Amino acid sequence: MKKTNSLIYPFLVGFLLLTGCKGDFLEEKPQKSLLVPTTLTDFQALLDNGQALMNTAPYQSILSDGDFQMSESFFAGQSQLNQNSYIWADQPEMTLPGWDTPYRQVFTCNVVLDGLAKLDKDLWHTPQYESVKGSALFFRAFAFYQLAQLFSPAYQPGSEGIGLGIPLPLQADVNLKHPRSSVRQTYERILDDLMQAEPLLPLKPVYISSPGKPAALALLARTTLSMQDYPGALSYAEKCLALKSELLDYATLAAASAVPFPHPFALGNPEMLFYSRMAVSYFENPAFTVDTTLYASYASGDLRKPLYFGTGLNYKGSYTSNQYPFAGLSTDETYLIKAECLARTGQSQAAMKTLNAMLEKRWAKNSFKELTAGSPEQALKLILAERRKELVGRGMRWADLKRLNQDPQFAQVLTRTIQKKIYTLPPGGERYQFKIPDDQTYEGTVVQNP
Amino acid sequence: MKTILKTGWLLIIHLGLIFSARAQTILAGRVVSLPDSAALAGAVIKIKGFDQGVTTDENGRFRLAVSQNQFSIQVSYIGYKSIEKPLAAPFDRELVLALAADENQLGEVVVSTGYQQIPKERATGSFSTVGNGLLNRRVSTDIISRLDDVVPGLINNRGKGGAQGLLIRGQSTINSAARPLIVIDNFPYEGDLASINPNDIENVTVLKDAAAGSIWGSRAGNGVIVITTKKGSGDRGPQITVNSNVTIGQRPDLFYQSRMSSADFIENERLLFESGRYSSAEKNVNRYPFTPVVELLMAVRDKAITKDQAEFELSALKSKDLRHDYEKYLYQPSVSQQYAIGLRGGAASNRYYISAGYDQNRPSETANRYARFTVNANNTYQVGKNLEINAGINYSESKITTANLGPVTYTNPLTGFTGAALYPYASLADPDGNPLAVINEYRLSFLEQSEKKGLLDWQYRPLQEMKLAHNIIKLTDYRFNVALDYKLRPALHLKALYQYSRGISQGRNLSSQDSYMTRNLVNRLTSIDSTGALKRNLPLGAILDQTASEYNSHNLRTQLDFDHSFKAGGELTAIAGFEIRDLGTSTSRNRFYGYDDEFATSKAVDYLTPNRSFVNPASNIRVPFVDAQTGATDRYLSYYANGSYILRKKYIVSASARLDQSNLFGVSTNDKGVPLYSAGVAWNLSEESFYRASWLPYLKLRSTFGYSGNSNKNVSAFTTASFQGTDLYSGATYATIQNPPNPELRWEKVQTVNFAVDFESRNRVFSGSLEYYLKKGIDLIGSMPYPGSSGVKSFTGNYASTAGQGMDLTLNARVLDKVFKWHLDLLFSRATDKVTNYALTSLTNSYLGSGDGTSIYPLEGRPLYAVYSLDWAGLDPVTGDPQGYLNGEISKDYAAIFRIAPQQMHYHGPARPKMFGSVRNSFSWRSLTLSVNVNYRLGHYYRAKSMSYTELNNGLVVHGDYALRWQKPGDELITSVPSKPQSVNGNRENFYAFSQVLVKKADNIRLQDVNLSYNLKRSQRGKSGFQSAQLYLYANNVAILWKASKGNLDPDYPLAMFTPVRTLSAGIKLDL
Repeated sequence: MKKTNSLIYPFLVGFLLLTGCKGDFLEEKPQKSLLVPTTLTDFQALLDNGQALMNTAPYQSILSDGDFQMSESFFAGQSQLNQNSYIWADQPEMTLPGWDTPYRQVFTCNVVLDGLAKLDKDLWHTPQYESVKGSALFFRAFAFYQLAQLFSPAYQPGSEGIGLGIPLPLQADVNLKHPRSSVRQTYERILDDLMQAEPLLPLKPVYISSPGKPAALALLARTTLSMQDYPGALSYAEKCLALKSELLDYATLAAASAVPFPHPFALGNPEMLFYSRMAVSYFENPAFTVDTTLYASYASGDLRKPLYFGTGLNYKGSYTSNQYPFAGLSTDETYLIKAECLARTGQSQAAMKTLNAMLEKRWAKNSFKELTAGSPEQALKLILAERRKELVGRGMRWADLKRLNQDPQFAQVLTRTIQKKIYTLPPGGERYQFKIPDDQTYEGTVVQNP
Repeated sequence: MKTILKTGWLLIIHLGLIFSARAQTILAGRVVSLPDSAALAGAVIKIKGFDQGVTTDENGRFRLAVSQNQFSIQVSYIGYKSIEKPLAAPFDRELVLALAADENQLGEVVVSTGYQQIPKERATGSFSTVGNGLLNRRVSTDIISRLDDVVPGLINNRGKGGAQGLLIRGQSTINSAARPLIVIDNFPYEGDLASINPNDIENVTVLKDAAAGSIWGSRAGNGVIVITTKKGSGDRGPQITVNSNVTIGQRPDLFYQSRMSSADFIENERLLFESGRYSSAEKNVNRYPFTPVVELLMAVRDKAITKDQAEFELSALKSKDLRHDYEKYLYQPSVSQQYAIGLRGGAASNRYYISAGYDQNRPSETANRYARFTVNANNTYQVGKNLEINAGINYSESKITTANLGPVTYTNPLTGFTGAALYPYASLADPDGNPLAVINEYRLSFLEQSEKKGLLDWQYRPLQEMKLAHNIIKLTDYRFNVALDYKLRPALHLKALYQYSRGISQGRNLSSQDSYMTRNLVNRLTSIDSTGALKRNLPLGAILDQTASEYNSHNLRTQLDFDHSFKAGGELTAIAGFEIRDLGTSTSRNRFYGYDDEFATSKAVDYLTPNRSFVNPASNIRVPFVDAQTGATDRYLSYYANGSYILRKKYIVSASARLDQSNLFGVSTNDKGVPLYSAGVAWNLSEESFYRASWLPYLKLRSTFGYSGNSNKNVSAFTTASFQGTDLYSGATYATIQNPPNPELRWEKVQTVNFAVDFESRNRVFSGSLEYYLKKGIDLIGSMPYPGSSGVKSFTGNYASTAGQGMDLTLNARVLDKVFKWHLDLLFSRATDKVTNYALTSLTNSYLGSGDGTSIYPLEGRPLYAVYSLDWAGLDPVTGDPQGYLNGEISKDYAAIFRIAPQQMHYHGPARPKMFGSVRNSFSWRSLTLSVNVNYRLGHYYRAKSMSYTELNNGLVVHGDYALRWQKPGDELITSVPSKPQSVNGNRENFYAFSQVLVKKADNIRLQDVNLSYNLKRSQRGKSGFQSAQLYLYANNVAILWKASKGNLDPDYPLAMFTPVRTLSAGIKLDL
């Protein structure tokens, strides 16, 4: 018996040792690269996922906005999704990256915002905390803005409470169901996020894929412009330009180059407030060309003509300095917002001064003549024409059409001809709202667009 | 780890201190065969309850020291039925023990669970054992394929994606690992199974139900395969076994899949060209390549050559077929050689097994090579009377050379798709066999212009690439085992086992400067300044890619074994123990640019600065940075106990329990563990006094119930993210969210109920077993599609459950058993599974496209992998359009048809066989044995590929059904291939691809393999120097005997480029 006992002993000792140390032993994480995001650095890392997620924007609108055309053979090789966007087809897609990707951005922001709220209150007023929180709010607002342009009707002052906006998830709980909000709620949410973000953000972000105060103000100006709140937009645009108003002098660029604009990361583009791009490389294709009327509207001496377009009328003017369309924020857009709002509020002189300040950097040296307008209406027309010419290829036209079509004097009918069949999109047409994809609507909470 | 070491040392110290001695007497005896009373040399005699034993000498004699007066001895000899005999003192006479021949190796008596050895008669659970004889019936480099057709319930599935692979009794999980747990020498094996030499395997036990498998707890849900390697045998001189064989395989048939003819392909290219399809691609800034035919047509258009010249060249191309070149240059008859030598022997105090093996394979793919070298040494020492120490080392080294490119691809200019199959009229070599260039990524004219500007040769010559290839993986794998077995008392043993195993796979892929990969990258990273001077942003020289992956596994187990017979006629066998496992795995990958292999030097590069691509200056290109590392740790702590009680040899009760804890990430501590248990009963009916059926002297009923589990480390209760590297924009390290939080996460469980009957007729004219089982997968982890607005497209949680049931029948018959013997071994298994709970449904499209294995789309009430289709209403007699049904009406509204509810799809059946098994007939006459194995797989379906006008419209090579397309009214009576549409409609194409008309029954019966062997008899061996010799011939993949569907396709390989080649092996096995 004695022997038996002495042998049972190590068995028991081993057992106790195993039991005793199991806490540490089992706490080892299974994958080295895995993290449970809990620190400010973790949250920043989630927002730094720029190229693959956070700094991308939907591209459907550049297929639909009429500024660009596809050759018939190019059209024939396109995916069903792209063909449908191009001819404003009524058929919903099974799945749509233009819907899913912005919501992935929103989810990431919500994870960050929920996580920030759980951090120790002592950290709350540190610059890093504020910057992470401001960035998350900005990215969320940017995603909501993109979604609203694609899937909601235009904001119509006075009746904005009627139409259906977009679902607005504000927590990182994937099981919560979010029906569509109203258009008013959607825009109020965007403004609210941005107004919260602006004081938290740094004046100058570390890199341009991350937002700073000027970016938040520029997006506020863009959003209020979409809401036709011109005094509001004017005030945001002015605040933005007060912080950053540099313009790139186009006369310093080589028009012959296939990519005339400076690489925003390697060389820097002084106009850039926030970097985002569309994940589509149409512009490298010579069969995807600019609308000929638009092309003809550039005067000779206007450097945008040779800098933006190749000889085959293909677009090469992306601020991304590669084949991907730029979808971020820049000072030239803010100048145009300021000018338009000045004109809309009757200040035609100031409006033209702002416009000319920008145009001066767009023309060849010594060939620029300042534009003049005798009335606010005339100023507005000139500014809107320049707006279209300046911002072509940036996905801005779609939001402008939605807004400007409400005014009969600027309303436009878009048409396409494919295989002798004519497709049209009238002002206020249903297809100014893209259909929500089937893999969203089948679940029942989110109502399909008409 | 500290703990493991501590415990181990404590054990060793304590074990070393204790010895004891008792009075011994000698038992002498002789083992003979029945009925001829010939001496059996090498039979093993053991005292029951003791692991050590002695073996008989040349005359069949043995001497055994015994210290008890009353005990049972067990006598076993390979090929003979073991016996057990109770003995009582005195032992003054020589004992004669007679054994009857047992040619059925499946009737092997002892099963191994990896924790203990159990005599099969005493088991309640479902075990199958494959002995050495049956394992060696097949000739192969690997071990796992030798389990095909010999284990009821086990199938190696073909098919797509997840539906592929080894399964035991169906699948009871959706998202977790579905493969059986593989155990080698008592511990789970984490390395590459290809590194195991089958010549070193003694036997394999497959654990199928909860009672058998639940000892393995949370990893046993899919069954367990327990592999035991050869060990020494006691009390005999050294015995050397030599096995050598060579296997020759046919050249693969590249014409297996139907494909459109070169002439049709060229005609299509002409039509596309004429319709202007290439005009935008011609201007594409990516300089997409055009096939020679399109280039010819463009040259005619541009008046560079005359129409007649072009037509002359076109007609020459029409007769070419690339597949001839593939057969000639890319594939070859395979040759595999296998050599193995083993030395086995021992005395009472020391038993040993030492072996070495070498395999060298020349696969069907030209220029590829495989070689494996294995060495094993295993020693068992008897230290004193009570302590047995076993130590072993297994070492394996393999070298895999991959130089074959496989079928050549190029970038399709109309879609930008980089993996398009090369045009069918391409030639890989000139008539003298010199490598020819084919198009790859860029247009020929662009390449020529670039070369003039001073860039490197930019042509792509596939055969030259094969010659330049230097892509080698070296795999080293070793296991070190030590096991102590200390007898505390006759009934109580204490065991401590430790295993360390490690595997390292090192890859070295050297792309010399002459290789296309290097030349292409250097060229793309070249810029030309305004003076025309070249600037190379990537240094010249080779590119060396090195990969390494390794695992390190420590396992320590301490266990008490109890075995005691009670006076009342009962016997209790029980084990209890605990186990600790730590598995670390890591991978790394790095690349050197400007590498010079002679001096092993490389050059620094700038990874960060974007350079203008030479091909498309509007796009940026950086020097690719591919370096990466990963690391993972799996840790388990387990406590287990298992016992069985046998009363009067008639009634058996068994029970097993296990608690597993692991570092499953993020689950709160309570849920980290999962307790699992099982229980079983068995009744030896034939032992009852009322049992009268003398024709069936053995009849046993048994039943078990219990739980095992599946673990899944890819889920977590918390939000998890993982670091991905450096964002190209900000340069910051970024992370992506992997997993939204799921606080309700639990472990998966599998519940199994098993009923079985074992039977054996008099003289074993027939014997076998019939088992019926029910399996339930509970709390299964499932990925569920989520609406996009949630921010995730799918979410993983314990949503699902499955139910499976089936039966396994084993029947062995001795139809003739005289001089001419005819034995029949029949296996029949039925295994079905279905999803019983799955919260959400996906889009109909997903089930159709991916439900058969490509991806996982479970649908309630259906098998996990099922084949669905859309109802087919034939071709429109006027237009040749495919027609389906919508709301019961014939319809061509394809988009609407795709919107039907998933329940309205046509369900054909599972993608994996419902029924399978084998019939093996063995005939022997004197020294000759012929064994013919026919297997069958029934009740499954596959979707045949047909032609796609989308692909045709993109100038791709399409299926040969193109020639069978509807062309004029009336064709709908003889074909179901739709007409060529005016403009391609994606939904029309998809409708046809997923229509009922393309789904086929996959049932088939095939003559899998034949083994013919010749054994040199005793009388012939005499002076020739060897004890016995066997010459064998083996043919595998012989023929399909029957299949349910017509056509050329092998239903188990409908998508393969070619079917497994027929092989013939010849070999010799010598016992010296």
